[in-house]
Amino acid sequence: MDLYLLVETRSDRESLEVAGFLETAARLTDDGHAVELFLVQNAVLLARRGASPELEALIARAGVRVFVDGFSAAARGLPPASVLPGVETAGMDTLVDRLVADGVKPIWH
Amino acid sequence: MAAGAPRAILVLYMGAPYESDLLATLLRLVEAALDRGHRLVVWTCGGATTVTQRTLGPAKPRNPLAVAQRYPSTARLVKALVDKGAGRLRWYVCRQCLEERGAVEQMAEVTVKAPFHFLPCLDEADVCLSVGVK
Repeated sequence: MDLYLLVETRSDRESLEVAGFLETAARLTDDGHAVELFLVQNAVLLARRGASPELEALIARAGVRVFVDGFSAAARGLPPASVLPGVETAGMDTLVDRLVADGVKPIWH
Repeated sequence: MAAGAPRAILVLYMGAPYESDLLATLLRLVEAALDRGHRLVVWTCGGATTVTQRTLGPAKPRNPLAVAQRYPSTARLVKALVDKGAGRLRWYVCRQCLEERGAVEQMAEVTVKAPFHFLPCLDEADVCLSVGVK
């Protein structure tokens, strides 16, 4: 089992590739891998309640952690209460810690 | 390598600097990594080679709506991080990309590298992250 760190920077409103990226995360878990998804910049908008059924389904999967960048969320007026349950608000220190974790495979989108 | 030990991080930064928040995110990431004690190489390609031009000076042009306020240029921000890193941050600029964009006057704190020098950087890194275009 490998650990994948997926960093999404775009919202699904600006790029159709976002759906594919979330699907990639789901497929990785299907194959038994652990996935950590870090949402930053416009991608934090995915974490709003009701904004992305695909993300909600991903959060419900075993072996998945989802982080939202608190700075990006604040810059977009996204209060913590509006973020999906199961999403952890984090900062760049957390992203760095996950990036240097043993054996991690990072992918930035 | 033991958990928590300093790592060598290579960040490949590509793309135009102002089409998204990417540069701000990158600078935040670099600062956080320095604060954690890691070593970094930032390799810039494409439009990203323009953020460290010497001709940008220390500050952006004045904002007509807030003339008293000065905002640091991208070059000033990178210089501050290089200074903060005290040798733990190396900022490389791809020669091929900068020449294609006429961004040939680079600030002293960065190093211009031929494209084939990227491979040794990759070999030396514990972890590599490519940010920007795709």
